[in-house]
Order: sequence, then structure tokens, then C-alpha cells
Amino acid sequence: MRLPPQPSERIDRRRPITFSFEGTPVTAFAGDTIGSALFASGRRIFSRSFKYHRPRGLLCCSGDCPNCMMEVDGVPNVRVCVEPAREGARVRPQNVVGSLERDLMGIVDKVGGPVTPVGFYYRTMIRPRRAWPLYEKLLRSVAGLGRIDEHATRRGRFETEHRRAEVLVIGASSAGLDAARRAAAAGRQVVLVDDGPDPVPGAGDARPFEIIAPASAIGIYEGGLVPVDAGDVLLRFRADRIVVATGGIEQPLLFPGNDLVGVVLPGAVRRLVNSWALKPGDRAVVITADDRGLAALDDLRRAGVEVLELVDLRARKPGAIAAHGKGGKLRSVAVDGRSFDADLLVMSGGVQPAYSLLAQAGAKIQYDAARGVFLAEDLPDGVEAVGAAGGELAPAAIPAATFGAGGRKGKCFVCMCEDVTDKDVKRAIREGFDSIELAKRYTTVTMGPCQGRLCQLPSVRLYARENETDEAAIGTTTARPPWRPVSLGLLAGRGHEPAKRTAIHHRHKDLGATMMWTGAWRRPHSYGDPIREAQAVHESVGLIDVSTLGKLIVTGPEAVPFLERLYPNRFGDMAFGRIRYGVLGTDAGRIMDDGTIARLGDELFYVTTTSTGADTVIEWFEWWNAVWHMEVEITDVTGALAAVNIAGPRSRELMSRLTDLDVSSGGFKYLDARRAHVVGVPSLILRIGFVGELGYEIHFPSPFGEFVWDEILQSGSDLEVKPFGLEPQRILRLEKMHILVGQDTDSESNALEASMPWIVKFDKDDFVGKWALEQVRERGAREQLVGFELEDGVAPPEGGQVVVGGRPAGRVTSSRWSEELRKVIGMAWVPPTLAEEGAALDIKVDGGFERAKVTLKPFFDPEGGRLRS
Amino acid sequence: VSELDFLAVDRAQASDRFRPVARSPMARRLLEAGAEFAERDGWLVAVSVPGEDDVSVAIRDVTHAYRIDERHGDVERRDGAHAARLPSARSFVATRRDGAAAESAPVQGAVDLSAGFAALEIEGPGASQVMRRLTDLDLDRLPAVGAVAQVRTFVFRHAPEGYLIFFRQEFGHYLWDIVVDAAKPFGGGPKA
Repeated sequence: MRLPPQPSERIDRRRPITFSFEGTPVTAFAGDTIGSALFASGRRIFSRSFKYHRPRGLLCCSGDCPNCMMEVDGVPNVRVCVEPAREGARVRPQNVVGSLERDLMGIVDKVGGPVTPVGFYYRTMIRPRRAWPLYEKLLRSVAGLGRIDEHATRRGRFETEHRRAEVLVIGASSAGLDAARRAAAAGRQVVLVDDGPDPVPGAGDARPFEIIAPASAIGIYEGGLVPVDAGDVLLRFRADRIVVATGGIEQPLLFPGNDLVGVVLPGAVRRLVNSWALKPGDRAVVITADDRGLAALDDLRRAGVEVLELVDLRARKPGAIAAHGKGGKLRSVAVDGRSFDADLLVMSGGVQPAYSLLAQAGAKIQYDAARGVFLAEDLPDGVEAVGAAGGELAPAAIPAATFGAGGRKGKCFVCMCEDVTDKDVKRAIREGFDSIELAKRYTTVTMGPCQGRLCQLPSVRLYARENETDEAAIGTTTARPPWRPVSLGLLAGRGHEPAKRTAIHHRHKDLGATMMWTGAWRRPHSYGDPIREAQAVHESVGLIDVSTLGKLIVTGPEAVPFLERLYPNRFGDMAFGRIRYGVLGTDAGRIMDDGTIARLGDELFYVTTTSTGADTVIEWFEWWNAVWHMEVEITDVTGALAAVNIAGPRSRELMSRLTDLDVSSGGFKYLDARRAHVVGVPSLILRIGFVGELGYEIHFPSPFGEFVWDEILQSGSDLEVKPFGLEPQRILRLEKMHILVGQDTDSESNALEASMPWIVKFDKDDFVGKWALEQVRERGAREQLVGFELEDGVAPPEGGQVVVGGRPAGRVTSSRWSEELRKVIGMAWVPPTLAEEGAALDIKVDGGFERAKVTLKPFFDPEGGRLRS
Repeated sequence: VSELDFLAVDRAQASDRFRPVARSPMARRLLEAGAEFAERDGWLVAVSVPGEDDVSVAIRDVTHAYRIDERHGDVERRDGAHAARLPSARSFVATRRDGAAAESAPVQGAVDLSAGFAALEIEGPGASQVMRRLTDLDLDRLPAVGAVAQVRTFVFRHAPEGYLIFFRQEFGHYLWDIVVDAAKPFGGGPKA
């Protein structure tokens, strides 16, 4: 039943809305919340409490307390008192076995109190230890909040939006609106956010500042970052100035029965009557520490509620207050022995400024003994507090920590969220949890959904009284974001996971490649048959996309000394148009990357790196260039150039069809670099062979990726040219015993122990890591990277153990079956004593051992005849 | 081919045997959206996209339209050119190939990186909001170098509600998908 139209009601009676509660239709009006519509339909019990399953009804009507949390359209823990009613919404209660009126778990309230004090499970459920999973399941089924549907799918789209404001006002209290108007009048760009409905409805573009409502600021972070929950969008505000106008939070009083259905805060009366035209009850008692209770009194009278008693705590301090009920609903109120048959008790324990956002911003929180509240002081630059949040409060009495029951029994709740009573707090103090932070963790007061809004101040008062000290000495717990509940989906937002694709990527997909991640790159693992693809390279000609290689242009008068300082090998003696393999080391002499260095001119070098190491190498080059101040320019051309490798005995024949360049063995030798047009595209061609066969690596502008790929495949169709992926490439390079940095090396590997002593030129003046490598040379190798082969058996797992004398002595880094060699081949780190041609290794495989033979030369074409042909 | 010509898209040579055509990394996505293409100055360029007349925030692939280089020192902004400072006293310069600032001769010391970058335009009412969902860059202080959808970009404003973004071409496919998706709630979509 609704009251006659109220002057400031928010409902539009011409626009009915229907939603369902437990399958039963409920009629609401536009402007209603789900909670107000349910109240209008006669519902008084809205939830069952966390632990005792006590009936709970509307308490604050402002989204502060946990009493009205329900599941709405599958989303748990929705505070229906502030959730707008919407057509077709499906609403159901949560944490209930049965119904809200008859919850079978309500038995816990009858029998559980004495045996389930705070922290009881820490003491009673620790033995037997193996039963804990059972206990945990039981606790989780009995206590708690709403349940998440484990099979739920994404319901909606969450976005993150980056916003800026010169002035961001949080809260549309009158002080907040004033602050916004003043700033706007001063020409500032102002945005006001508020978690209620639009505070200036209908103003449209006439507003002097932007209003975002309903929207909740959930924290204040460094740099003026204020995330704002605006439903499906998380607005990440950066503001030059933040005005906090979050107002104050009405505080409950602590007395037996203070959680009964029908015990409400003044704000609930104001909203029920004025916003939704609802009569809160029939017969009321008002107990108040401030004018809010008196304002509620006016609202009640206007709504036709009979007010039986008014207790103004500023004038009179009763010794005992108790509320009594039946079925969880208020039936009577006793004040100092006088009993009133009331179904509504309006309690006001004063207002605590909502300081959490200010505390998060860095303000100091101090207790004001004169007013009995905590206030934010020493606000950081750029942050301002106005209105109640800033301590502008009407005079109020400081209520007692608790009011006695006058001899009658009943639970007195300090924390409604977690069902913590005054007895629980006293017990915790007796057990030694006298610090507010420790007690918080033990009792869980302030850790529930309200996050201390309604329990912080009362619990501090209680701690102070029981510890015979004052509230300032007790202090407060740390205020942390989020200030308002926020969904994990909103925090996560839309995932942005950058993926790199080569210019030939779609051709691989067209050819049916299985794609895999290598770093941020998407690359073809194979095109269906890796063994066959590897064999095509040995037998005819293969084509692989190697665009992912890192590529750098190093140029300048000091390019040679720069490279010679970075690499352990030498470059000054290179002829133009020649290529050299290089291993890049750290200051500690460890291998960080490898690649090729082609000299294209007197002061011009083209450097390639591994695919996954490219970004690190580029940073490494630039960092050292900044340190050494050398006349060198480094340009990253990784993405600018696509690259393909044509490899196999018939690759020369294929190349001759693609370019006018002399590709004969005499005209274009192994480790030569040439610039020429390939299929009409300007290219740099490197005669190198990572896969062990005659090969040409063609680097060319990326926009021609698909064109060049297509032309090569077409031109070589009669040569049976086949694309090959990463997996066959790994087989081929292993046959040649070419290392993969990161696979065959780790953060401790160095070039000497990785069997590449020839690359380290100790006679150079200096290079990065020289001193460290000298120490390695002096102490001798502790381990050695070698090849191994198994005539039969399975390929040992990469990372598998090499065992000597029954003890782990090394590890397998790579292993594959080679169809070409008809055996298992691999590489492993072994003790130096085993690094001899033909030495026997035991490798752990599937719990047993496989005997392998050490090989120091490449398995395939050890003399390099095919590569150099 | 000499010096660094192997980086230059416009050094491609058509012949009887081969007719090189350059493609943007986003061409495939446009093709899948039903776009029709034509060859322009050696590039395959989308000339129409189904439904493009209905989009309010236009997402355009303009990779083909710009020559990009990295060069020493500061560069003043000229008609049709966009420049941003890089570390080590260098500049990123994007010049419209058909603009007044198009240069016939390469600038001394400049490295042609046209092949390494892709370019997108986001234009129309709501473009700023689309951008704000992709980047925390201050859109009132452009040009800027910073992350868009976690990819390093050069962002310019070319109209009151128009943004031009340059980024490494290997992110083309990824960024196209992200931008088109972000623009959808604002009536955005691909446009030729």
C-alpha cells in the first residue's frame, strides 16, 4: 500500500514495472528500487543473517548495511534497497534453506549462540586434522552470503574508460553540489559522481557541470586516480582536484534486539516515506542522538504512524533499552522498564563522517572526543573534504557503548554483517585481542559487506570501554579500497592482450597451420605433418616464415667498436657483404641472445636477434649506447621487414627463378649478404642456414609479406616447395646442433661452457662480460653442453635428468626423433668429464634409464658440406 | 638495391613476371568484413565496406596513405605531416603521400620505416569516448606517444573528433579487432 503522493517522491505511478520474487510477480513503479517495491508488497523480512540466520529487514535504505542483500538475475549480494526495479528482473533470497520466513538454518540462532562464539572454529574444528575439508564444507554451507554460479557465463560487457577532470566531486550532498557549482562558476571543468539517482533530474545540458549518477567512487589512489563504478563501465578518473562530499553514515545503537526487523535508521524512514510513499510501520518509538531522529519523527507523523515515545539522548540518557520481537519482527520496545508495543523503532546513534576515501588519499584519521566521531585531518594536496565528510555535523549526543537490557535476554549486535555480538567482542578482549587491528581479524568486525560503515565506531566505543581507555587510544582500522562493492568483472574490464602477427600470418592460416604462441607472436607450429615438413627441407626445398626475428640497423662512425664492445667476437675484420654469428652476453658473461651480424657498409650493420629476445636486445643496445656515448644510431626494423627462409638442396634453383642476382655457389657464398630485388620486391638476402641445408634468408618490406610468400610457393611448385613450421625447424636445427637460446641455455649459461669457446675473443681490449668469462676460463668448465643420441627408445623429456652414479648430474635441454637420421637426438648439460665424443650417458625416462652416447659434432652434415654447397 | 632500400615499400619494381602489391596488416580483416579493394600506387586499398554509410564512428585503415620515417632532431608540423619526439633527439615523422608535405627526395639521415607501421583513423561523434576506452593518454594534449590497448602508439588528432594512430604493423590485426569492438557501442565500424 502506498501513501498518497508525496511532494518529493521519486516514483512515477503512471509507469508500472513487474519483476518476480521467488517466481511471484511483484508490481513496482518507475523510480522504485527492488527493495521499496518488495516493502510495498508487504515484505518485511529481506534476508537471513550471516551466521545465526536471524531474520533481517530494511535498516538503512541507503546501500550501507547488509540486511537487504538478495540475488538479482543471478548476481548475488545485490543490495535491493538501492537497486532500481527493472522489468522482468528475477529476484530471490540468498543464504536461506527454505524460505525467508521459515529458514531451517534458523536453528543455529536458537542453539548455536553459546557454542559458536567468535572464532569457535579455530578452537574446535582443528581435530582431527583430516576432517577439516568436511568442517569447511559444513561451515560454508551454513554461513555466508550469496553463491556464485560456477557455471555462469559472461553476462555482459564491461568496459574501462579513462577520464580526466579538473575538479572531481564525489557525492551529491548539498555541500557536494555547492562545491561543484562554485568550481564550475570559476571556469573549472567539473564532474560530479554520486551513487544515488540523478541529483538534478531533468536539467539536461543546462547543468553547469557533468553529473554521472548512479556511479560510485570506489577508492582514491596515487596520482589522483579515482576509479568510479558506473555500472558496466569503470571510469578511471584522473583529477587535478578531488572534492570528497560523501556525507556521513548514520550509526546504529547497541542494545539487545537491535537487529530485529522493524528497527531502522532515520534515513530509512526518510526514503520510505518521501521517496517511495511507503508507511514504515504503524506504531513507532524513536531514540535519537541528533536531529535526524526528530526529522524522522515528522516524516512518521505525516505518514500516519503513531509515535509512542521519543527519547532524545541529548536530553536524557536511559540506562536500559531493549527490543523484543516474535519471529524476528519487532513487537515491543522497553526503555528503562517502560514497554511500548511498537512495530517500528527508529534509532539514531549520530553520524560518522564517511572518511574512507580521504584516508585512502592519505589523510590522517583522528578521534574527536568532543563530538565522539573520527575525522580526517591533514588532507593531502589536491584533496578537499566538504560537508559531513569534512566534519560539518549537527550537534549530537555521544551514545553509550551499549545499553543494558534491564535484566532481559537478547543478542546485541555490534556487527550485523558478520553476526558479531557485544559478548563476542568482550570475549575477544578477554582472550587478549585488545588491539583494534588484531581484534578485527579475530572477530571479523568491520570485515563484512558494510566494511565498517555501521560497526567501526560502535565497536571502537565498546573496545574503549572494555579496555578502560578512550577511543583515541583504540584508533581505527585501515581504510582500503573498494569503498563500495564492485564486481570482479568490472575490475577486470575487457582484456587487452596484444598479439603480434607476421605479415604472412593469414597465409599460414589459409594453409591449415596449427598456430602457437612464441612470446607475443603467433607462429605456425606446423602445417599438419612436422616430420614430413622437415624431410621436405632435406629432400627438396622448404619455406618458413622467420619475420619474427629481431632486426636492427646499426650505423655510424663507431658502429664497429660499438658492436665489438657488446659481443665477445670481432666485427672490424669483416668484409662488406659478409655475415657473422654472434652471441650476446650479459655483464656476468651469461648468454642473453644470439643472432647474425651482417656488414652492409663501412659504418652500416644489419643485426638479427632471436624472436623472443628482440625487445630485450634493442633495449640492451640503446642502454649501452647511452652509457658509452658513441656515435652510433640504432634503428629497430623488426616489424618493418618480413623474412622468409628458403632452405633445401633445390633452394638455389628456386632462388634463381625469383631474382636476377647471381646465386651460384661462387657468386653468392655461404655467409654472404646481398641486396637485390626478389620477385620485384627490394630485399636483403642472407646466405645462412639455421636448419642445416643450403638456404637463403630473404628480408623485405612487411607489406609485401603475402605477395612474396605466394610468389615463392607458385614459382617453386614444380620443385615441391613446402612450407614448414616451428616444430620441423626445431628438428632440423637440432640435427645441426644449433642452440636455441632460452631452450638449450638458461640464466647461468655462458659461451665457454655452451661449447662455443671459439666465439670469445679474449685478446680484444674489452667487451661486456669479458671479466666474468675470464673467471670461467680460469676456474674451468663446471658443465658442458653436448649432443647425445639414442639408437632406439623414446625421446627423453626436455628438462629430464642426466644421472651419474645414481645422482642427478645434468639435464636434457632438447630432444627429438630425427627421421633423417633414424634415431633420437638431443642436447644436454653434462659434467665436463662426460663431454667426450662417444661417452655414455644415463638419462632418466619414465622412471627408468636410457643409455645415450655423447656427440660433440653436429649430427647431420658435420662438416657443413651441404650448408656451404 | 642499395644502402637501406630493402626497407622501402616504394622501391618495389613491377615487371612482366612479378607485380608486387603491398597490403596493410588490416587488409584481411577488411576483406572478411566484405570490403572491396582496388590497387592504388602499389597498395591494395579498401574502397568500400558493406554498411559503412551507417557507421557514426568511422574506423579507417590508412596505412597506405603515409610515409613514415625516423630522423634526427625536432620536426615542425607541416600540412599533411605529423611528428612526435622520440628519445635520443630523434623524431617520428608521418607524411601523407598525397599531401603538400610529401617529399620527393628522402631526408638525409632519415630511415624509411613506412613498412613497419600501420595507421588507423577513428573519426566521428563518440570517437573521443572510444579512445578513452582504449588509452589513458590525455587526449587534450596530443600528439602523444603511449599505449593504446597496451600497444605503443603515436596518437595525433586530425579533426575535433578525429584521431590518427600509428603503431607497429605486427599489431595491426590485434588492434583493428580491439578498436572496431570498442567502437561498436557508439555505432562505430569499418569504413573505407
